[in-house]
Amino acid sequence: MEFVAAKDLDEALVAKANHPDAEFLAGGTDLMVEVNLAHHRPSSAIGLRRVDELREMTDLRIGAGVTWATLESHPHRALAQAARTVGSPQIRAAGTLGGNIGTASPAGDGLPWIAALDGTIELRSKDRGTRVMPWREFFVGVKRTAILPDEAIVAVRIPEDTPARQEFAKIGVRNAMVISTVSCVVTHGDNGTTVALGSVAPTPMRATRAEEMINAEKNPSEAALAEFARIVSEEVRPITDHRSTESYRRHGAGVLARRLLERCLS
Amino acid sequence: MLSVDISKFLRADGPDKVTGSGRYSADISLTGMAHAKFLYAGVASARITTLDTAAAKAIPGVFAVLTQADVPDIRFGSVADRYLFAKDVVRFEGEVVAAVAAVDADTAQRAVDAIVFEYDALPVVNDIEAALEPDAPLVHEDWESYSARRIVMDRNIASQTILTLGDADAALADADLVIEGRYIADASHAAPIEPRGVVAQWEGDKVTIWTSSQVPFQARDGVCETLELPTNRVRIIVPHLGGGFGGKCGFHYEAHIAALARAARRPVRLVFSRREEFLAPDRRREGMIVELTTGLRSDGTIAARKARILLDYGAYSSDATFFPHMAAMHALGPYKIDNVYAESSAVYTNRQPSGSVRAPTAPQACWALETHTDELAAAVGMDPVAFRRLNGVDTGASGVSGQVFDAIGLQECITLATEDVGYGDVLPGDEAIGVAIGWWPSFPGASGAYVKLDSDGKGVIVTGAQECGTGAVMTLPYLVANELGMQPEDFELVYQDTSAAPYDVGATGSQTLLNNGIATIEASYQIASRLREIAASMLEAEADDIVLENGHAHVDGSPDTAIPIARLARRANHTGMLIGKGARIAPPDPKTSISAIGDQGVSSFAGPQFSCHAVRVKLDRDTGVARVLAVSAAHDSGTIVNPIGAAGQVEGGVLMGIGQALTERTEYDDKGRQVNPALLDYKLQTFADAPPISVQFVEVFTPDMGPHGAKAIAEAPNVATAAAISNALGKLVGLPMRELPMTSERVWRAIQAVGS
Ligand SMILES: Cc1cc2nc3c(=O)[nH]c(=O)nc-3n(C[C@H](O)[C@H](O)[C@H](O)COP(=O)(O)OP(=O)(O)OC[C@H]3O[C@@H](n4cnc5c(N)ncnc54)[C@H](O)[C@@H]3O)c2cc1C
Repeated sequence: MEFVAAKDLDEALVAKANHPDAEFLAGGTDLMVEVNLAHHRPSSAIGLRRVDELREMTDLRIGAGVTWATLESHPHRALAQAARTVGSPQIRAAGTLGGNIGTASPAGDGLPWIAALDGTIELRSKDRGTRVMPWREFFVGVKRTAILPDEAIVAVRIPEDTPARQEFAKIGVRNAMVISTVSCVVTHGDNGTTVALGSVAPTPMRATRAEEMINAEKNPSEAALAEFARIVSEEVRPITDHRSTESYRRHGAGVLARRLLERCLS
Repeated sequence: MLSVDISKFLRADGPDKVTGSGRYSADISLTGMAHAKFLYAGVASARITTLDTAAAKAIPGVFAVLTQADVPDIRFGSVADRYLFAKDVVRFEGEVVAAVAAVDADTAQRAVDAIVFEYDALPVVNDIEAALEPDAPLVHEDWESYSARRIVMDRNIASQTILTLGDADAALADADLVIEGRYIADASHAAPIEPRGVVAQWEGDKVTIWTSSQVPFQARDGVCETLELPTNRVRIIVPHLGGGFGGKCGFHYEAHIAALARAARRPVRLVFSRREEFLAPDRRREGMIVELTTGLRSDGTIAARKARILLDYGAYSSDATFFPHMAAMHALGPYKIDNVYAESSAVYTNRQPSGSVRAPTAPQACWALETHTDELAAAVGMDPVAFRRLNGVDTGASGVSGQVFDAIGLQECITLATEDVGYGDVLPGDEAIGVAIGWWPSFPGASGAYVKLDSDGKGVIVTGAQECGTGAVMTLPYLVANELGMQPEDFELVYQDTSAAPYDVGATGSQTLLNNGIATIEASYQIASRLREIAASMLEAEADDIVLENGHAHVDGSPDTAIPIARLARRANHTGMLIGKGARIAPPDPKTSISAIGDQGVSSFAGPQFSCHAVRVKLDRDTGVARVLAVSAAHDSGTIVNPIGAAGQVEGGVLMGIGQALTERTEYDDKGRQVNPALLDYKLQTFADAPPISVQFVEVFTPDMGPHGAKAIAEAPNVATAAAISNALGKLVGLPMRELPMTSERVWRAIQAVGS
């Protein structure tokens, strides 16, 4: 396997344009697992560790190369909460938000947050420059995205009027180093409530019917909260695999969404 | 009695391990060394139709490709049911079909891929109950030709034990109350952090093998048996071992790599991937079905118990023939019952073989029994702790095998653990305390050591014992220093080398300090008496009056005239050297009155250890997610020789038990293949999951067992934790747990079942 350590974004994009088969290597915490399990042997890899542009970060734009360790203290509460649940200290020191997006696993813990805040993915290529894609268009299936072979993920952008409250939680079988059985972000603010979930569909998803239902309530009653949870459970589209069953994931999605909503409202 | 301060125990191997200067098997690199890869069956049950290695051998850089045709035609194992390589058929997915040695690992893998391996699939025996049907396919067509002393076999039953004491049927008929329960435990893994490595090098007709083994002498004997070599031509050396937990007991790949190295005419190294570590070794904690029937009298005492136990044994017998007997003892438990009947069978399946994993059979069987015991207490309206006090064994009582116990501390363990955890305190509604008791024998066995003092008064302990991470071997210098009035740092250890040291059973059955401690102390007695003789002649006193203390010898009562031991040692070189040897001779087994068909010699528990674990658990009833908040573990393991080491064993055993309770589980697909052979999906506990664990010892001096009145320790802490957690969850859910592990999803389903 050939390896190029790009010094800056331009060099990375040139390398990618010349070798569209090459894989970007950010923290390597997904890619190297694939390589080691021999699911995948890329012909070459382009290292992004030295690309400073990818580590730029503001409240509304997070570079793809920002690590989970950095995100643990991000002002966006739900993102910081998610960051703190990722892997172990070693994984958080290496793994990046861009890598999480690039892998596009249904269980990617950074993805529900992007969906809940209606984030967009900033992509760039040597020949066509920058394009910005809504998350819904970007994530197209299990580990499949709309990225083109010559593009890099540069950043995640978040719309300006961020909600006042946001909460993340996940269910997993232990307290660290765990793949989410269900993950969830709920936001609440002047524009109402949003609910996004992970591990319950091929891509991160929004529970739009549940959002509509709860946004119609001024002061949600116990019954309304229960109904909200029920609709979330109904809306999600999980599968049964060796990690969990469809019914447990459905149930867990409703439980998490309701708890997080209650936290947002408290 | 122990005058050397052991409270600040520092392991001699600690700095090596912490700084990374220590060498493990996979670190060994020899000039011209080739790399080994195995071809595995990949299918659970099949008849081999083609096995053609020509193309693999033709690849440049490939030095040797071996199959069963290239090694002696020897069937081995405790019932001689397997060969080094698959012969004619494969019986589990991880069975080794062929082995390659090549210039590097990638070339070796390409050669493995080039081997033509074709087969006709055979029916897969994938369910232990179905395996007992009269028309079930046989895992071993030739089982009738297998033989081994004391082992009862029948078709897919690989080993069976039937225990009878009194008349269980009659006592059940007379009982006031009869309670039945069925409990199912999934298989799990030892999962040591170091995947194993083996390196073999021939010089002339002698082979040296470096290997990650807990039992180097057994590994040597396996090589000798399968390659037809005398023991003095096979030297096994174990570098630092990165954990074992039983997973590295037994004889595994040492002979494969030795044979490869001979054929390749150069040293060969094998290093397992994590996936191989999960799939291939004949070591797995067996799945189990336990059916219990207990008869109670209205006063809450137990009148009778019957147990039917099926163990998922896997494809080969490994070291596990005694498992049914052991499981039966744990399903009957440390209780006073005069009428028992247990029928326990290890069932062949087309799965990875079972083998000794820390306290084999006990965590599952104890979980079943102790879950059942809470049901019994509830049935007679008794508090579960009071019920255990009433029925649990005590000093002078007779247990389920008719063994009458000398001084033991079970009742005190119950008191200490329950008081410490706050049993009876008012708890929040989502918390509960579960309590379980357990037992485990000590295993007196063969073990030898030498001790020498050199002319500068520094010593070396040459021991056959194996350090598997428990610190048992690291404790030996304290025992010797204690006898010789010296410091532990005065002694170096030479260990884990079969050509240097006398025989030892290995780091198996918690027996290292128990047996080797005795052998080492005996060896140091001989040196002590030589030192006394020399000092006596110099001080013109009687040898019996010489005291060895603080690195000096003096006449009792006259400490001012003291001779440094180094001076005695210098003199000893001219007067016969300071060399001592010791060997453990096992005491006779305690008496029992139970009748055992398929007797595997474990009805009597020598040096029985007892424990009580009490756990506080919090349950999220919406999701079934359980969190263990605190564990109090009290143990009677006799005298505690090394408190730091012993507490470490209990903490580790408890954490392993929490994993078994909540997350650790090996799953199979319908073709008998493991679904989750990776740490990604086989969930061990992490530090973030670890609760505070409080450890207390009930130190009952136990004669004729280990050094200074000790019993064993390493496996006993891995018995009762899952059971205690089960009982806490049972209280919180309102239903006994019937499946192990008690995953969040299973607990959630139990909650749903109560709700509906
Ligand atoms: C032990 C362990 C625990 C883990 N725990 C969690 C967890 O709790 N939650 C969770 O969500 N994930 C977890 N992961 C997965 C992984 O750590 C995360 O997905 C992480 O965010 C990946 O980031 P990375 O920088 O390491 O990606 P890499 O492995 O470097 O890359 C992943 C993929 O994204 C592509 N890529 C990376 N950067 C870019 C870019 N700028 N532009 C285009 N493509 C790019 C790569 O080519 C590759 O295909 C865990 C992984 C391990 C090994």
